[in-house]
Amino acid sequence: MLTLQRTVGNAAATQILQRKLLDLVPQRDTKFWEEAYTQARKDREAYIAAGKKGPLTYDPSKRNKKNYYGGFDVEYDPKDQILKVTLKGVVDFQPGIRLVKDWATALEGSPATAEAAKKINKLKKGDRAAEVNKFNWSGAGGPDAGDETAFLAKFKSSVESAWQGKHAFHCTRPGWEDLGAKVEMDVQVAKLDASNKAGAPNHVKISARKVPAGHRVTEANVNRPGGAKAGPYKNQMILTSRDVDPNDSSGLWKAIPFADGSSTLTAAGKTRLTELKKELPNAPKGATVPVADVEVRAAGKDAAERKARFESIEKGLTDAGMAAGRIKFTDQGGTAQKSKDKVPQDLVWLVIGTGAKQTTAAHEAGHMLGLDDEYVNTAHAGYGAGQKTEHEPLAAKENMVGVMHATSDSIMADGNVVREQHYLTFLDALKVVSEIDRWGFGGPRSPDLPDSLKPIDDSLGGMGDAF
Amino acid sequence: MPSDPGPLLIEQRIEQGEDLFVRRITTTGEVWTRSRLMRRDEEGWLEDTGTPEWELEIRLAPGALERLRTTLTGSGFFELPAELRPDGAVIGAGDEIWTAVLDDRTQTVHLHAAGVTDAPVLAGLAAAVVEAMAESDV
Repeated sequence: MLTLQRTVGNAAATQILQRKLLDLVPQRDTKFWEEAYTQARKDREAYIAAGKKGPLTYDPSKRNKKNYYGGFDVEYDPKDQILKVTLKGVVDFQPGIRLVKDWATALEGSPATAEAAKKINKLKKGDRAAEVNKFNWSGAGGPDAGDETAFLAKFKSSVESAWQGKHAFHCTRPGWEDLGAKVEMDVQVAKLDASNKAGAPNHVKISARKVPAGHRVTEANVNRPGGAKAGPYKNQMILTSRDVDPNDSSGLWKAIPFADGSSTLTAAGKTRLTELKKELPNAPKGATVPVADVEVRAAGKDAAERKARFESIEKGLTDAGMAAGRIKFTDQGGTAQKSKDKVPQDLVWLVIGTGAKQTTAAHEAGHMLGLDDEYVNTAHAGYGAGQKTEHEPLAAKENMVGVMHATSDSIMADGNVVREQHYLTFLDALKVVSEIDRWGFGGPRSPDLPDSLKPIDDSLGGMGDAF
Repeated sequence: MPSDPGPLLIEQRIEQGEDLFVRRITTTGEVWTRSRLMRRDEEGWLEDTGTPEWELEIRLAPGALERLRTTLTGSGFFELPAELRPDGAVIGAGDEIWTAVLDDRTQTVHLHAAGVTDAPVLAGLAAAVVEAMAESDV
């Protein structure tokens, strides 16, 4: 190592190490490897002693050609091994409906709110204001005291708890493997006013439209006027007041009807299974990213009926092309739930993945972190089951295979599970802020010692990555 | 309820995912609406909770209808391109499709990412429709 350093200099020696030209050095040259290891450890200690790296603002559009949204700040503290991700935003509290000359007019742009305004206009003029007022934030006279403060607090807590600490990273530079990074999220949101304006240092302006409890709205989006070139402070997010709480229902639970007391699928049951399979493509060849499994919670009068019902569902799904290994049986016991049809049918529930309800704000925050949707929407070009997502290029760089649109419990699809592919922009941001290219998934681990420094028993395992 | 409310003066279709709201103002000043609001039922499957049949919302007063025609004529709507898109892509926003027929002119404009895309002519037209309905609500 010393010879190498004297010949080409310290920096070049380090580069040579990183390029794995070390493969050319015979493993029996123990002195060389011991010196290289010792030098790497010294370099690592010096790196840590130099203190925190950053903060800097990460623009996903500059790192992924397919991206045109998002932005956040990152700072890496090598001493505490923390990657701190900070998302800053201002919230513009807006009414969902307002009165224009006693006529209820939807401002929140969904079909559901247009329909709600129409219904209010069927009331006598004198009765409309009270109904419209339910679509006002308390700051504008609405009936829900403290709703603005609660929205800010819930946005922060739902996004932070969804995203932080789900996966860890470790440095893959030889001799640095015990240098790690855990992700901590800090969401800072404030009400839009004269002292809290849209634009830098805020990454996003959130337009929060007030809707009352029980009003079911599907509109939520993230956009960046000007697209990829506009930069990381021009993002806009549209939410409703309900989007900081878990959704009313989960699209991950599906009931399959059986004729009363029978283990034969009804025609509707067969159709539902065929439709379902279309949303649940199997993992492509060589996939490293999991697809959601389906749990069949079979209910019925006895064990034989429950097993037979499971087998009917399994056959329906496998006939439609689903890999049999994805279909799990749970004996739910007891009596099946009845449908509300005129002739009640027995229902057997299918649960996709965890089945947990999503919180829309946490999903939309994923776009701010530079991630695309993963759910299936046949009405939207590029959202078909099995199609690649816009964060797939980052996945490819890390040799991840199988990042695609599919119904699943993933946070960028229909649920709230944060998988490794959802940490790709954090991994990339870590590389940028740490000025070290070599990081991988998984927490810190013991450095890979040269064989000559390993305990006797351990040395039989052979050489590591470099030492 | 009619299967078709009749010839249109202005129609606004709000589309978001599988949800839909349509408001049609006929040449005679009747305002009709219909909607499709897909929500998950207790069995986890989507069901329509909207009002799929046309429903009469209001009849515009003759003066209000005339002023709406005048506004439409001078609004610049017939000079708009067939599609208006946002300045940069949007993840998850809905669309609006506006159609108007006046004299021998017919024009349809597809507003992508409604609420995000800057579309002052359509915003003005929407305000004129609200104004006409509010004025006729006696």
